[in-house]
Amino acid sequence: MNLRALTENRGFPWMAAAARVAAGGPLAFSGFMKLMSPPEELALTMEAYRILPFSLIPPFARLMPWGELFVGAYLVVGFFIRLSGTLAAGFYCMFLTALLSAVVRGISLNECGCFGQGGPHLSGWGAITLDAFLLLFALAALLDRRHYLSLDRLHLRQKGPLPE
Amino acid sequence: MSLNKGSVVSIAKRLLPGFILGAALVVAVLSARQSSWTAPFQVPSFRQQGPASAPVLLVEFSDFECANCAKARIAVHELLERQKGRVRLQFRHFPLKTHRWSSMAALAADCAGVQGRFWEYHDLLFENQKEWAKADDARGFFIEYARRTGLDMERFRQDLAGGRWMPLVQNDLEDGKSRGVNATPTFFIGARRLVGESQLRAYGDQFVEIEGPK
Repeated sequence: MNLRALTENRGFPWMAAAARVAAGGPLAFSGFMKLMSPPEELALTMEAYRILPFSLIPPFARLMPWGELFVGAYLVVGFFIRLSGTLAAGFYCMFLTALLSAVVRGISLNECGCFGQGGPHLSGWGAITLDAFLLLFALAALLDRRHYLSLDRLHLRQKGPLPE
Repeated sequence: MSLNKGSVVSIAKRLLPGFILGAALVVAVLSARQSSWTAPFQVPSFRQQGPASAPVLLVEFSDFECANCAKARIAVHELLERQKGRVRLQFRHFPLKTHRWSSMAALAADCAGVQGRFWEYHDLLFENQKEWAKADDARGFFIEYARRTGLDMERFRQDLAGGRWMPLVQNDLEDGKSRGVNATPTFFIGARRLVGESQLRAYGDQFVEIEGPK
């Protein structure tokens, strides 16, 4: 597949805007749902993955959902798309690594903890599939240079004419 | 590097929407979060252990069908031993919807409790969890454990069949939900929350020290 031809296609900026929402929306939703539950419950879920040292889990469980919420929301509205898109892709890579490492080590995950206690409950492979798609959406949003329907475009428009 | 007034204004204009959105998100999260519940816990005395005058209250929300709760039982026991006289334990039921027999197990334990045998029955339920939790009908096991505990069987059968003490279980469940409990076992040491056995082992003593008299 020719990536340049794809990104120069007239419809691509619109698809990229949709991909931005598709990648950022679930990330923001997941952060919000995690923030609705006590951080100790997220810490318990993280313990099951056996990746982080025990002492790092509580601060991580407190901070990570805020990161997801902000990065996801900024990606949806198109605020610093390159940065928020890269961070969103980073989050999805991190989730995929954690999930795949759990599966490889034979850790049984009845519930991935992706959306906290209140959201949809996914098994290990369900979550891996979802995160792989969301990572692709985040990468598609990063490839676009025209940034339709975004705060970035609004800002650039104030500076002069934009490429169509 | 020096910034002129124009570039400062330009940077501020660029960042302002992000700050506004960020502030709106923080306000949304804080207002949507469940508030902490601070009213005193009302628990039947048969589900409490330790001196009434103990300076620290340890509240456990537990589910008899939950494997992590069975594991945490040992950690709770060890904490009570280490902190003898300083901690009073209150056991609260939090039967999870996904567990078929946990509500009835909680009811059975309270039926034993009103006859003064809650803790013996509690231990039997956890020790034999694998046996009854997977049964097609766990009622036979609950009756067998009542017999082993030496209860008045006629009274136990009536209370269990009639669901006489189910309001106590429901009260705990509602209470747990109002405190934002979603998972078991959840512990409260004073206002501090711990979820799971490993958190209790790691921070239990530390929180007792913090919450206890200085």
